[in-house]
Amino acid sequence: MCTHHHNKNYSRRDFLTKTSLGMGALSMASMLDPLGVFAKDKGGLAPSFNGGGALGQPHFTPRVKRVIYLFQSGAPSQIDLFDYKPLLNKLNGQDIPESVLGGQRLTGMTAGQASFPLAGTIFNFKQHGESGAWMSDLMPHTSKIVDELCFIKSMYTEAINHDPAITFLQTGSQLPGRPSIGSWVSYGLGSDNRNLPEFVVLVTKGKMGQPLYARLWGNGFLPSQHQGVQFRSGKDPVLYLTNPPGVDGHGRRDQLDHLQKLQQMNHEDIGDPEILARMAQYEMAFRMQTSVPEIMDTSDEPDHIYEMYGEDSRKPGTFAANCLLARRLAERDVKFIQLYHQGWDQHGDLPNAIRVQCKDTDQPTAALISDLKQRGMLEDTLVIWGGEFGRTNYSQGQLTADNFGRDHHPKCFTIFMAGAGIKKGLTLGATDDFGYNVVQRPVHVHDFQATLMHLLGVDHERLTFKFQGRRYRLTDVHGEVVKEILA
Amino acid sequence: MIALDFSTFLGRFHPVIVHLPIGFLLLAIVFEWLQKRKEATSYHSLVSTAWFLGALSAILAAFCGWLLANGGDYPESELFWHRWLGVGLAVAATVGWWIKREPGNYSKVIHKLLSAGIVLILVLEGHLGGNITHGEDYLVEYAPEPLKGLFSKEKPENEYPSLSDVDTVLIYPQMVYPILESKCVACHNNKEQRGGLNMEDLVAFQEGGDNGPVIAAGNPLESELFRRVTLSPSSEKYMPPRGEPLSYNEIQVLHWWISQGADPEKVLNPKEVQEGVKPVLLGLYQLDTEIKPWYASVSLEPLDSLNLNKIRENGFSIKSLGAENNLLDLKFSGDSLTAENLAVLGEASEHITWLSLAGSNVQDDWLEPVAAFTNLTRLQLEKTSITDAGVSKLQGLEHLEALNLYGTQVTDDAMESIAALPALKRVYLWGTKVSPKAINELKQSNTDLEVIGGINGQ
Repeated sequence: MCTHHHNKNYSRRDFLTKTSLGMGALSMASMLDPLGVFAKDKGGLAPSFNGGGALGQPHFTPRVKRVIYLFQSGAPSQIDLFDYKPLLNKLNGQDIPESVLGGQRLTGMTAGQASFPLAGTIFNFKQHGESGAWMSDLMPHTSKIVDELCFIKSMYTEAINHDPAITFLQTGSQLPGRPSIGSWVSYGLGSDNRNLPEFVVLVTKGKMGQPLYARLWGNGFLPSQHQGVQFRSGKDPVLYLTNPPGVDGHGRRDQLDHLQKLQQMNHEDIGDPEILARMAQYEMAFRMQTSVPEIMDTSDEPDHIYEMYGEDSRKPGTFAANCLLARRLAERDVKFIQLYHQGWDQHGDLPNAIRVQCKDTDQPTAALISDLKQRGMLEDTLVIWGGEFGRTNYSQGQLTADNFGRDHHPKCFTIFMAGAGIKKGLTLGATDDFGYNVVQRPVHVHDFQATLMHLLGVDHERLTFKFQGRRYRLTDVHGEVVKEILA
Repeated sequence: MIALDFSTFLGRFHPVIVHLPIGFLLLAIVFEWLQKRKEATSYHSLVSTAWFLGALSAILAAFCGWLLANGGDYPESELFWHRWLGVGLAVAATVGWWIKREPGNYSKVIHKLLSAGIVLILVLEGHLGGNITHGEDYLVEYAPEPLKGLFSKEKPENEYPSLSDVDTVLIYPQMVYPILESKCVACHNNKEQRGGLNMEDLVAFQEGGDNGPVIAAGNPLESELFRRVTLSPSSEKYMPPRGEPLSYNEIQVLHWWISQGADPEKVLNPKEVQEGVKPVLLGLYQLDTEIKPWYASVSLEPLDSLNLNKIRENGFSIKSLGAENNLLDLKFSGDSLTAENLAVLGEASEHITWLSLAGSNVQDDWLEPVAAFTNLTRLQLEKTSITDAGVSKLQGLEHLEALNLYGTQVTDDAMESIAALPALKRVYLWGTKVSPKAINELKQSNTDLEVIGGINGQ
């Protein structure tokens, strides 16, 4: 039996890239700079910096070193939370004018509805802080810190249903398969703490609602060590991380060392880059055996911190507990921390459901931002709060005096941010009096992504990865940095 | 004054009367052509009557036009050709009337030249008059695209020169005067001073017009210049009386210049530009007056890689501030720091702009070399055992903007050292021994300094 076969796992593409381009580039470089090719610090200082990101160093000075993205899955109703529209209360129950609707594509859930009665919010709005930002009384805690926040009221997207919309926001494409924002950040900028992954995901436990898939934090076509690592509540925060019964740390280290040698031989033989990714992940897992329990054990947090985040923060797996964990991860320089909180998809019974959601999220969100501030971490941390699209200004189903529902609305929604590099107390953009269309400074999902990368010091047009013959980037061929919000 | 009013009254009949010579003279030419074609003599008296009326109305129109131009609402630069073509038309029409009385005495060529000349002058003169009244774009504004391209001039994106270097801008000559030049100087210049005001010459401009100075330094609302451009456009005193009004941005620039003293020699200082004015200057002159963080304004050669390695060997992690900036972001993690480790940083004293010793075992005395980091803008000492003595070592950090002392042993006595840091914008004092009273006093002593204590009073 012939065991030594030709390089069948070494893909044609990898082979060609490594041989032709590799040698070509080398000879090209030696022609341009015959003495410099093998010099150690070629290209200035770039190669000797930071934790192995593909960029070597950021394109420009990063204002933000890490991001905490509080993703509100299901799409919170901007009309009941941030975007105050008194006209809707005046016209409550009347049909939405055709001129406002403007032939918008509707979801299957309301497309067949005989009428579209405008539904004013039943919650009280007030202006808060020195910046005078409008907030409804659903978020009393966040209302107190509006001067730290920057609202974008003119976000819009292209998808009208959850899965494509959330995939679009997280990966820049409505179709699955592209790397998510956190993976791009990890790939481009590398790690600031080699004991923890660059990209960590925390999902609120036990929430119902639109499903979340691991591909939302997937690496797509990037090397697989850049995928998000989900930390769960309970005994095993990261699945399969603990040693099996009977194996101690010493034995595991020994085992890994030998495995590394075998993998190395395998790589020299086959040359598949995924072998390197696998080796990196084994090593990361080993280091996480000590770093993760230390992160997850919040018993060293004083009582006043728990009180600040709310009583829920003592229950592992809640949004509050995850916010607290997010801060701990940020303190340890994890670059991209993504929280998901489901349950905002309020097609019916919105008033009651949104109260529950706000009770879950309002206090922890405000506490997280305040806590980061008092620790000086808003100097270089960015917090983002928002969903995948907005909700309609008309009621889905019957509109009564104290109950209604709202369908998906891609044409406008509100997000807010706090922290480094952005203007505090700013409200950017505006919607029309019906809260239906954007009338001032529209911000597309790709613009938002471009701005996020800009804050991290990355030119979104220059962080690319070649796959299937074409260079891909997070914003595909779109996206403009929203300069107005940059401090 | 009364005489001027009366002449303006007459002058305003110009737009009414101008239509008469156009009609009469064209009619005269048509009659003449008909007469020749049908060889009918019965047209003869009609032709000479039409020429007579044409000449008479042309003279009247020119006369009224002259009076109207003297009324002062129109800049001479736009008027010249209209004025003299109008006079020329009146002369030509009169000559025509004279000739047509005895047409047989003159050769055919003269008749043809005269007709052609009259038509040409009418077209040109009518067009120029239309431009003055309705604006130059009026005629082809709604023309189909290809046609429009032939006539309309490409309007420049920005009328004012871009000012790229924020350090060397003179506000009056480079920002204010270009606005005056484009909107006012056509009627207020060295040759022509409507209302006695000359804006082309600085000394004359400062002297003002017939009613005295037009600028009250420091007080835009009391300044005649500002008042005139912000009146209701329907007001008779609104400036400019014709043509493009001043844009919002231009008015903002005038307001800003006058309110800070209307000094013609003042140099732009980005620190004095209020938030609201920044986007205006960016829009009009592409001038970015956002104050850059100190680290963005420093340009240095990259630090030698031998030094970098040495620093790394001493336990620091090093990051650059991106490809366009050679300053460094250093961090020490863990509790194995020594005074020697910190002393090594002296090799990079100019390059370090962000330094974090957070959570380390740093001691007060070891901070001595840090004071020499000339470009240090952010220093993190939180969660260490630093005391007031350590903070007092930081004197001399001229560009330090953020100082994190949360969770240290700092007390009220450190407030003096903190207040003495000239560029400090944010200081974090949560979880220290500093009293709320001292925090308040520090806040009051420097309103530009944000003092961050605990959120829930801890």
